[in-house]
Amino acid sequence: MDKTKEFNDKPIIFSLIVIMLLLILVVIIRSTHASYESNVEVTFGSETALFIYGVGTLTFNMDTEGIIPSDTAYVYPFTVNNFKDERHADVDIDYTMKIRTTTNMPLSYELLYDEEYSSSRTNKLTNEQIIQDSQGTWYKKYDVDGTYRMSWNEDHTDNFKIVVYYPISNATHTEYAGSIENIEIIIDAVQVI
Amino acid sequence: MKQYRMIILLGLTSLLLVFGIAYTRSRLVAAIDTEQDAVLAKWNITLNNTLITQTMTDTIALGNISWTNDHANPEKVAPGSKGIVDLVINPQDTQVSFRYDITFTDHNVDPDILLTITNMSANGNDLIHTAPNTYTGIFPLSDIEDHQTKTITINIEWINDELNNETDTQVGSGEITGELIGITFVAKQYRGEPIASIDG
Repeated sequence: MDKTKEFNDKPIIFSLIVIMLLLILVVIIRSTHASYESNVEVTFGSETALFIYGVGTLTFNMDTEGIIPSDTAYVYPFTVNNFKDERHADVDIDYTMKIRTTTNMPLSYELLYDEEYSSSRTNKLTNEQIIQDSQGTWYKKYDVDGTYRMSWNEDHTDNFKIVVYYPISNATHTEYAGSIENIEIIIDAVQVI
Repeated sequence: MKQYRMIILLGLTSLLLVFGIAYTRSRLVAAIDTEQDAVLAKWNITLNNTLITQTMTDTIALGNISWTNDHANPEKVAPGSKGIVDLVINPQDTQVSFRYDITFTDHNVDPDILLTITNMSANGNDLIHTAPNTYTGIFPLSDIEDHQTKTITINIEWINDELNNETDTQVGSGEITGELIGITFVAKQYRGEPIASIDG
């Protein structure tokens, strides 16, 4: 048999492959043809509310050079605010207080809220406890009666006074010379929900 | 060898035939679908009066939201605050149906985000929940020709979670800046394809 007259299907197969590739290309191009689409990121300009209160923990020391035995009470005022400089709280705030003192000196305490020191004063300190921390140091701990609220829509200042008694009967006790007493006022403030 | 070539030839011819038929059909379908495209169907959609179809991507800023919270400034958002965001879709003279997808990144998706979306509806009707953080609706051409608008109402809340108190306090005291929420609106020409809900 003459091989030159044999049916040569190579060109046909080649042509079919080319046509197939072209068709696939057309389908791919069609599938990527864009339809209408618009994307938008939506934002809004709300600010987060500020949670501001003045005085988280107030600590001060009293030493025997600053306080001497006396029948007159020592009165130390302090304030709690819902603003600080130009910033104001945007939420109502409730707070409670505790007071912790060292036991180095024979002092006793009272806490006054929004009142002057007088014979009719109301002491807010309750539940005196003597506790020892993990270091072995002894402390006196007091609860403060009540929960105090500061409303967001006004600048609010609560006035407190801590009253310290160092009885004159200690005037002859030299063992307290050079002692320092630490008073810590702890304020726990929470947003009102 | 010849048999082998014949099989290849027959196979390619069959594939070509199948492709040809399929492509012819798709051309017919496409011709119907894109009849309006051929005369440049209009695509002018506004979202809260902002034209969003001028560019492929855009950002629109809504005004401040009025927040509901009995114990906080209503102009500011705080833990416990609830608010409503309305997105008004106006297709104006658009000449094709479209679907819209609202995808959000809220506290449930990313715990670092402060706000949570608690509900989403269109003109008071439920949207199709197409992904955990995506809701989808359709604006059919008939409604567009009827000059309708649709209002998407999104309920947002800063859910008070005691576990987040530390972070919330840092945000509230200005120590860190919290990201409120991420919302993306996509309008896409709708060709009648089925839209499946993940809720079954």
